[in-house]
Amino acid sequence: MIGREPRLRGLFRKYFLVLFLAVVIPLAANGISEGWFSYRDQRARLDQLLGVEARSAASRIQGFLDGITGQLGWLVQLPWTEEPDERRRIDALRLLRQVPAIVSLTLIDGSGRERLYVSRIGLNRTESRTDRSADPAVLGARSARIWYGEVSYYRGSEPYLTVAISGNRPSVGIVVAEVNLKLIWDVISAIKVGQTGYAFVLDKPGRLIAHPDISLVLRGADEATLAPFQAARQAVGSASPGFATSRDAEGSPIAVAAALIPGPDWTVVVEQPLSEAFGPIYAALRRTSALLLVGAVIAGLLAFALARRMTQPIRLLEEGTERIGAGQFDHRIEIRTGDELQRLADSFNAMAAELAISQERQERIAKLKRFLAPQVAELVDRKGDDGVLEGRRSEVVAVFCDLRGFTSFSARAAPEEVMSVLSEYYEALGRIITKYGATLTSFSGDGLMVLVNAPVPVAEPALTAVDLTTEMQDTVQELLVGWQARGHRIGFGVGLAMGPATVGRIGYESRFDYTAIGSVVNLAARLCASAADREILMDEKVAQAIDGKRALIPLGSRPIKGFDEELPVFCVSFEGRPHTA
Amino acid sequence: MSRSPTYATAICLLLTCAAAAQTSTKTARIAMLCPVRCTGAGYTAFEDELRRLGWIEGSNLTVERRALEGRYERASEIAAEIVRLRPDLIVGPGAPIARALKEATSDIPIAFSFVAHPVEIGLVQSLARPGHNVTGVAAITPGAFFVKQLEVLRELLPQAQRVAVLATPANDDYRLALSREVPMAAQLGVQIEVIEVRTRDEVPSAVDKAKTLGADGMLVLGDAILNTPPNRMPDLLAQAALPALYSNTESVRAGGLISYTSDLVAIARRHAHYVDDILRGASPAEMPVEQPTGYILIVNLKTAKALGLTVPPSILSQADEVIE
Repeated sequence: MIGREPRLRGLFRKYFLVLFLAVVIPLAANGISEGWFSYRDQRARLDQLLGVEARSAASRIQGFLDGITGQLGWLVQLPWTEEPDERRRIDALRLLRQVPAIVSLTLIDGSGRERLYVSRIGLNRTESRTDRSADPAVLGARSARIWYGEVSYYRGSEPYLTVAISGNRPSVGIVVAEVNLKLIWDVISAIKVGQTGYAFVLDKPGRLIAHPDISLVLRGADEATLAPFQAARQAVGSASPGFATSRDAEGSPIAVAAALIPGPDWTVVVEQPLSEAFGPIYAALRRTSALLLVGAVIAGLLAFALARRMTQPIRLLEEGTERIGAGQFDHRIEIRTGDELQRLADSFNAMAAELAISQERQERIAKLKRFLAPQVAELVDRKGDDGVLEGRRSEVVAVFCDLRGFTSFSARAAPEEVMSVLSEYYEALGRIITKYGATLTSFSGDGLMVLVNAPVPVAEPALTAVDLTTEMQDTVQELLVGWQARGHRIGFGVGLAMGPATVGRIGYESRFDYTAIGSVVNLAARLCASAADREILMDEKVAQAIDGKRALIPLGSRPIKGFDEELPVFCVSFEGRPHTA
Repeated sequence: MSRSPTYATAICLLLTCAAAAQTSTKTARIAMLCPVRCTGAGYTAFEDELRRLGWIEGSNLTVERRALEGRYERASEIAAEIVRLRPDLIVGPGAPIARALKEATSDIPIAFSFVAHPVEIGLVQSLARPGHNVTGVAAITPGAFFVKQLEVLRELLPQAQRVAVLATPANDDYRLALSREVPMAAQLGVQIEVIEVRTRDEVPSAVDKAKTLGADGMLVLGDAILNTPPNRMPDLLAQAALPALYSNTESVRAGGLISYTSDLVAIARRHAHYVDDILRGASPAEMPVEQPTGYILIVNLKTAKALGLTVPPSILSQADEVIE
């Protein structure tokens, strides 16, 4: 039992694992591949998205600059004369009002002299005629029509850009504008990448020009502030067309993409927190994990239920066989699975029923064996039926024998001696009774009764009985020699009679005996009682049945107790036999 | 099995966030020290912007207002009183007030506004990096704005020889600007008469003085003493028939002739952002001082007509607002 328990648990675990894995492995494989593909898709999408965002941001910044240069273009359309130009002054003042980002305007005529300077915060100058032809702005605008200067930080804080534009011919001159780049803030703060992503602008040397957090811009060329932005630009620069990853000022990972603004040679960088950029991936992964988890739980429950369903009958079978093995043949294994297991259980039940029947028979036979000759017992056993022991009337030979002088011997002798004598006596007689197929029906003390021809029929009952008794007498006489040598005065007498008697089982519940009832039994008992040592007495019927096959000596008629008239009695002749005594 | 700690972490994070959100919604206390009264377009814009940023007075914001009624000599005393209240932040409009507050505390954040020279008067180390507990919004881009205003006035009054300037000596911004820029006025061909006004009561006599000095025009600086209420100077100057340029748009709307100044409403709104950032944990030492980007020219044609002036097209073309 203890040895079997772990094996059974093992079977359950095996079923459970197999069923569980059969569900979970395909589920996991599907989940993982789905996660992987969605990751790749999302990366590609992000690549595209951030690229588009960067280009769109660049074009909006470019649009801001184009708006300014477009307005400036109005001031370089008419050629200069030597006269002061009041109209142009008003145009310039009007432009200042129109474009808030322009802080000051310098108008330079075709020969490179400053003709007009208007400012929001400084004094205006008219017709100063200072030679500005060597100014980088003037030189730049002359060679490239639109010239962008380096970004400068006013008082180390606010970024300014100088823009110069020349007209379509030298005589219309050049306009140089100072632009407050803080106003790009309106543009840059309106750019949103996803939920929290944003864009910023760096100039060529890597200074921050525009950022949704204006205070970062106002810090000017502050190395510590600029480092993460420059690192982000560096990261995109080295990456292939798509986005790159970097870290923001707080050190959180970000996805960045960049686009160039060709005019002033700035870079627009868009960034999005990686956690947000990969949000859909994480969501998909979380979904997949949740599904996997739910799947695993369901698979677990299913596997548990199925494994239980499969092992339960086996457990029942095991338990059933154990109980049957322990002798509970009335136990029935209840399995209704409608499959091989049920068939197995049914055959177990059939076996148990067989075993029950067999055991019952065994018990009965064991009981019978006590008073039947082994041959008889075998017969009953073989036939599987003790009907042979049923009560009936039959012609039998009843044999009685006992020891002479045993009562006085048993009174004198020690109990051990008595038992030893009886044991030798019964051992010898039992062997002979068995040999002749006779049936020992009862014994008490030193006397015993043997039946011949019942329940097992014998071919010649009388002859068998005479031979039986002769051998008994011979054997006991041999034993007597030994006992007499030990000083016990004991003899052995036998009586037998033949006739009809009622034979069968008598007794109650667990105590049955086989016996014969009839006058023949009484007669045999009386003959035994009247037999002297060494004598085998028989009635006439036995003698007639032997019919000269054995030498008999007629002893004439004798009065027998219990019988009205005298009966002829015969004795076995011991002529020609060696007398042991 | 390994996910249960992950969930636990997530829940903890959520709770922390919730707790953080809870603390940010706790009431913030700010104090405000006003030169005259805590009312006017600037204050309205400031409070409106604060509301827009989620600071609602009476719900998650309490404002302790202290008004000087123009008595700058009491600035230090009231500043000390405010510091004793231990507010989360002090709002200080104007140079005298910002200075008094800075002297009163070195740990409570101070957000100033309407200060032209924060570096020169020692409020901050530099515009890019204030370095202490004081930051804010500059009123003008300093350098030549005073003469710029004179230039505008002169454009309107090309014949003017003598221009009176009303200034409050307690305001370092004006002291600095005047000492630097009055000599530059010579370029414009005008003589400057600086008339000092120390208290509000001195204003009518200052106007009389300008008249006696034979001023052709007047420049009214932006000090609250002069401009509260907005119609005070316009009324006085209308009586004196003196054309004047104001540093305050409200005064022109209230009858003044012309104003050229930075966009004060925009500055007040930016100022509210500083308050918001600081209340949300930003360090004033790290918050660059912003300078104004917008300048507004308003001209009142009604007043010009009353004074018998014709407004030249150069002024009209620059004007953001023309009151007819």
